[in-house]
Amino acid sequence: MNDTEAVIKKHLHRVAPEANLDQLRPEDDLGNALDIDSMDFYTMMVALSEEFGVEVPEEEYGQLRSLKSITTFLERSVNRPMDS
Amino acid sequence: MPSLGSQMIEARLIQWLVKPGDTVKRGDIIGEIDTEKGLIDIEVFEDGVVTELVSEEGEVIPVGSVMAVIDGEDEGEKAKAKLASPPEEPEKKEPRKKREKAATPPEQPETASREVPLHRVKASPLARRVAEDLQVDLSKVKGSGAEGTIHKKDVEAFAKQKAADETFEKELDMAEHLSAAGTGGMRQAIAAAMSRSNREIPHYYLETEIDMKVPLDWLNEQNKERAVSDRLLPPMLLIKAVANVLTELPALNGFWTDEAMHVEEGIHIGFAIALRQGGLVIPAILNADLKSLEETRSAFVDMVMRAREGHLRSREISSATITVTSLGERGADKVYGVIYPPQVALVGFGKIAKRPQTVDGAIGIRPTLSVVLAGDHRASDGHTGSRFLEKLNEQLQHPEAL
Repeated sequence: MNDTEAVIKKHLHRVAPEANLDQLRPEDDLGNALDIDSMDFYTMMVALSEEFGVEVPEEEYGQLRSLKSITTFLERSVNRPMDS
Repeated sequence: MPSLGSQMIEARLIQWLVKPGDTVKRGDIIGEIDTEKGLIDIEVFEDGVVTELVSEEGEVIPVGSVMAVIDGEDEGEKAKAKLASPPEEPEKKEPRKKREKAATPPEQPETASREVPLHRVKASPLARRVAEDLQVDLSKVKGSGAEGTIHKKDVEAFAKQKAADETFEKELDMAEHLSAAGTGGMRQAIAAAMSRSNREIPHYYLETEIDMKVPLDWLNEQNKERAVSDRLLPPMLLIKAVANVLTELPALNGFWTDEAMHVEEGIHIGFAIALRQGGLVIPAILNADLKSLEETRSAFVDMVMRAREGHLRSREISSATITVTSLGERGADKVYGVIYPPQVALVGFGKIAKRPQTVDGAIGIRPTLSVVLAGDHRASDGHTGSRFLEKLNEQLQHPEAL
């Protein structure tokens, strides 16, 4: 598990403290796998956005459904040059 | 001890957040209580100075008991013991009707509880005979005849309500007993309220499907310009739309008590929030009709966060005049809700999903939302309910005006 994943899991644990995150597979839909709703998801994305210092564009928001897609998005956004 | 609903009897004081000598302002949180609705923050409804903390931390306190004494800055004695009875809302658009109650609906309105000497009670001879048979105190019955004359049907209705209340009380005793035995007070409180609802409220259900393309497209456009923390979510639109419609159809906003509908002036939208540990809470967005969509958004986010952390305020847990439940994107298609007594309506939103719709004479696939209105047939009819759904659709098709 890389650092980005660990941070995402830290925030997932905050919204779903009883869930066993070790069993979560990278492609799993987080809503179905952890029974989190749109407000939980919103809470997590606000926290991640602040922690990584990235904005989440509207066209991306709906695509971020799994550990893998969120990790990819965050790593890409953090490494993106400021002017792009 | 404030009442946070008709079924609440007592609660445990967890901690005081003030001490004698502290100055408090209206809206300040002064303590935390553990109720069957979870941990709730107690708000103070008067400015003043705390002079005495009557209740001790850890103590179980009956509803209505004085927990603390606050001396109002201007009104001295009058402000004492205001914790149990929140005053009327100061903010109002224009009075639709004089508000009869503050945030907490009493079980018995003043007219029924006032003692009147029996010989002055106006009642028909048949009503007196029936009252004697049914052991009903006529001074407590509200007459429907000329000049308040009590008829047989009034006595029978009163006796029926009394029997229902007694059954409810027994269930509450059982709930308390089970709660004390550690089987989950919240579950039992929900059980008591929902049993009462299905026993007493003649529900009618009306449903419709709303084309959500326009509101969702508008939402997406709005969110493009917003930071992730300021996102608008569909439930915020739904709550605001319901509040706006209720300004036009107040018959669905209020309480059924004492065999009559009491329309409430304030529109406080209770929103059902499921808790991960099981059960649900229904805090209210207060005066939702007077809030802008942006204010509704921020109130909603704040309320949901606090509901999940166990920091709801006493006033928002006891004030709802109607309930909205939204199952969200992963929920069922439709929800046929059970009205929370003494409210008279519940609006159930299913999940928004792509379904075939007829648009301009052609069939297309559109995001649609099933809305089911549960109404109390004692308080309103299908005609009012239908108009509600129609107006709700109109509101949602013009999201920019919400």
